[in-house]
Amino acid sequence: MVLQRASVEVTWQDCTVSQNPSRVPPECESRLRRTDLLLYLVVRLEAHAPSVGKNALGFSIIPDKSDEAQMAYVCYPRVRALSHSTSFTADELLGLALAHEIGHLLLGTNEHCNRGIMRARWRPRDLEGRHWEEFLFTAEQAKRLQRAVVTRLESQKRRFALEVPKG
Amino acid sequence: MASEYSAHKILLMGAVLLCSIPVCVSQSGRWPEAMQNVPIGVHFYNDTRVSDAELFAA
Repeated sequence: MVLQRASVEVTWQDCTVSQNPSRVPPECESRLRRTDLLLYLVVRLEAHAPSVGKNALGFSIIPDKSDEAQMAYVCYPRVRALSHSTSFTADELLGLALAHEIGHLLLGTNEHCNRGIMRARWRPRDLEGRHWEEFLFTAEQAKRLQRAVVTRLESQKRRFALEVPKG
Repeated sequence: MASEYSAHKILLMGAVLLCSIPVCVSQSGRWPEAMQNVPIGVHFYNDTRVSDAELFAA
């Protein structure tokens, strides 16, 4: 919902590794497109990022400027723990945490903003009051998200054109 | 002459105000009408034991 409001249409692909490898969709095995992101829902965030704050719900890996960010982690036990002290359910908070990390990946920065869903610390009064409007991307961020996706799409097209043999 | 000048000035100011309205609306946080949906794909890996139904409800 949060990303949809910013006009970013997400196609979710469950690539969870199961005991039966034939259940993994072929899309998960194929090469990533530049508009594809990898999101890991994990139990122990500190196992993947020891330096991350103990209250952080997730983190994104932002590479050097030359590369596009594609990988992020969200910790479900922390999401669930936070839900116990707010009016949002764990599912809703998970959606918000995922949208926040997707924001980092598409915007290509670990920086935060003092408004909307990209706040570094979500305010208790917004969490307690279920103030959904405080968990949206701002209009300016939405435009930047759009530009970022369009840039990735164009980059993907160029790569595809280079890879497809002519003629 | 003076009143004619004032009338022109008022008209001009009115036109400027009218032209400014969409900009003001846009700057006040209204979503730009021209925005079209852009697609991304998310490959999701659930390394917890939370059920898919619960997760995708989010």
